[in-house]
Amino acid sequence: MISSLGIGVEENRLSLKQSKSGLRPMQYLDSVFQNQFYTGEVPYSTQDLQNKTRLFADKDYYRALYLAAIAIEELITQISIPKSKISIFSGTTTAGVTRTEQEYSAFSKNQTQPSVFLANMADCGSINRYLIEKFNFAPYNFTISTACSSASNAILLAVNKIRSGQIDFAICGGVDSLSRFTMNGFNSLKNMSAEPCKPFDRDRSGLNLGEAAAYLLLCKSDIADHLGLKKIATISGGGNANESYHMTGSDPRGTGALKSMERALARAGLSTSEIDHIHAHGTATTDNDIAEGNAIRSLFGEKAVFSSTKGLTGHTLAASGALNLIFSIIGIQENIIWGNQGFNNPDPDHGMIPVLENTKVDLKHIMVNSFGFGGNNTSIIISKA
Amino acid sequence: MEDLITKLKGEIIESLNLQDFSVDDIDTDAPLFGDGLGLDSIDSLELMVLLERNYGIKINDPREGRKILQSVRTMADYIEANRKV
Amino acid sequence: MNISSVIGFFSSENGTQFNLPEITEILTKNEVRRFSTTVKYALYCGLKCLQSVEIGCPDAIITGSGKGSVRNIELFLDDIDKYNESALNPSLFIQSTHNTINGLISIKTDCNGYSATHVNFNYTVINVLDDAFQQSLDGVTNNVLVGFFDEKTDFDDVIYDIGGFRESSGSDNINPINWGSGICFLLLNFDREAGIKIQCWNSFSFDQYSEIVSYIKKNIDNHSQLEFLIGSNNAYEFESIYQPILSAFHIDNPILFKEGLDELPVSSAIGIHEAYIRLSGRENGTCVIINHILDKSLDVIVITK
Repeated sequence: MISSLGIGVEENRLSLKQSKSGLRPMQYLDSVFQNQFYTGEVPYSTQDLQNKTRLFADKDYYRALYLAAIAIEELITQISIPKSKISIFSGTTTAGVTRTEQEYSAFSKNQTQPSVFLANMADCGSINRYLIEKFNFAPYNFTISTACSSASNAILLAVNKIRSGQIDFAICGGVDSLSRFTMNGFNSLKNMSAEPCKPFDRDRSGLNLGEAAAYLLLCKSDIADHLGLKKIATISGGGNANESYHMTGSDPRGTGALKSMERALARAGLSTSEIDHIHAHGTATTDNDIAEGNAIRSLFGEKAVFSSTKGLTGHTLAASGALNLIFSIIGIQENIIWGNQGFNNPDPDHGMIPVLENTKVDLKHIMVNSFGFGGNNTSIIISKA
Repeated sequence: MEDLITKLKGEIIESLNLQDFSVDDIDTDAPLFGDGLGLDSIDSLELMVLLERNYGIKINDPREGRKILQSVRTMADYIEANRKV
Repeated sequence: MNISSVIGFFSSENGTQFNLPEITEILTKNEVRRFSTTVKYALYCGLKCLQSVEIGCPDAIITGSGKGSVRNIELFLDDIDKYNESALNPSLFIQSTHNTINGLISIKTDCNGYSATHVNFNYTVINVLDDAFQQSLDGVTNNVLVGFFDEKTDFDDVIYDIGGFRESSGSDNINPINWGSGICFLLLNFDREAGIKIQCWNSFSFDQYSEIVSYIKKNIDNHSQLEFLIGSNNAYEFESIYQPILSAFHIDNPILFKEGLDELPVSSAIGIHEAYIRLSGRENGTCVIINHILDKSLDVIVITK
């Protein structure tokens, strides 16, 4: 994994334990928002990120791919399964749009010819295409793009494919980098805050964008045992639902969120009382937090134990579900619920108060929420192995 | 002011692509949102874009925007008072 | 998986010819005014597909696009430059989210089921069919609305030119590829009744000739009337894969389902559309669809009745 909290699981773990925020005025992206808006930017230039990869120094790719490569390189050093047996499932919304932005701009203004690189495209599928080419993963792969729930959906699909016996091993997760496209997109919706975001807070004024790549290796428990692989956590269940309310705003009653959480519980065969923590989507937009707050309250009650880590990392879009899943796994390992930064006052519109500080608790089951544009809602339950 | 109102109606029609409407079809004082023209929250954002592009008026809080965008009349009044272009 | 209905529109002549229907019978004026062409017509196709089998609300919606909603991305990027990152129209951004169509169909049909969008270039069609089949295993999902779409832009043309994917130089009998736009929706259902069925679907690389032949042999009934629908548009060196496969089955009159139409990353959907139309007019039969997507991979899909 790589995020604004650090490169690799251990750096992220340390930042989480210290509640060290990755939100800073944006530094590297060339945009009017630079030095003005707080983002969860990975604090390296794109060139530096490329230099940190092992296999992607041969030509200029794009930022999101370097993030993914760094995450995957960390992951594969820990496993000895032949790569050709591993299928990759990625979630991404923008992939190489940072590259497209530059070249399209030049093309539009001056009719400058795009590079040969772009001819091989920076589309969503290109993440897997390059990862497979360099790491020799199996050709069988999926790329899901459902906005902010992309990685979560990629993970659930991988789980289902493994359960049905179609594949034995999957590397699944997601990646998105900052881009002028998304910065301006969210700003045009007027739900982006220039200041550090305040999930669930009464005075929240929008999200901060972030970037990250987060991937996990999945396989069936008995195969892990058979191969002597260390089992870090178990995915107990997951659910996906379309909300059918509005294209970008959530139903304030949280109907979509409620459905995905209920389906995840049903699939896992767990009751609400068995969920020790809800790792919320909590983007700090007006709409999401009302909807999610209400959904959590109606399902888990007023005293529900929940928090969002976007006050540390910002909203990493497609990667957020996978990032939060790994944060939850680290939480289970440490028996710590990560505190919700940025919260000062309860919002009467939902009335819920998250866990504010890192809190030591025996953790067995955590529900991780990811809710995307178009009303795509996904919840995954991660459990102690 | 009447000129501004007429111009604004034309700009609203164009910006929101209200193909079936002409300037005469839009009632100056009727609510823009809900019934009538049937505009929604995305349209309100687009109207705020119109105010910024055509009149240099920047509204950052969508809640404040909703008050200004209640009718063509309220929009025109606000433009008169605040326009930079 | 049975196909209950198919609706598709595909462009020809480099995206300039596109026979699109009158859509205000299904969409409201508000929807027509706001949405981009692809979004509007995809919404129309999806809803019409459901209407034609009198299903108000599908159990799941899965869409796929080779490259996603690129037109809206480019228009938004245009605005970012033009207005210097301020005063930007949010509609373009909203529509550029690749799962916009799922969201809209869900709102129109009040569907709260599983929803996914696959944007995986050459693997997209197979991925979508795979995911749809996966949903059929959950014991709850009885039907899935499946949709494919791709749109072309001028920037695409330039990119494909540079990549050598538009005009092939050299050989005399190779034609330039015209890229275009297309939309195709299918309603899949999982009951076991007879009908037009997607028997199998898989993706292969170009050096897997013998695997492809075995795969087809394993999935066809030799007694059924067999038709081969191939994606040859005589535009590529590696189209040489088609002939040996056809010879293995003694086929000398394959149907070139992309003939006269533009190329798309999800062009296998054109094949599915064609197969459905052909089998609809018959009592029984088998269509074997083989389609190359640039130099990336080959789709093999068998549809039977």
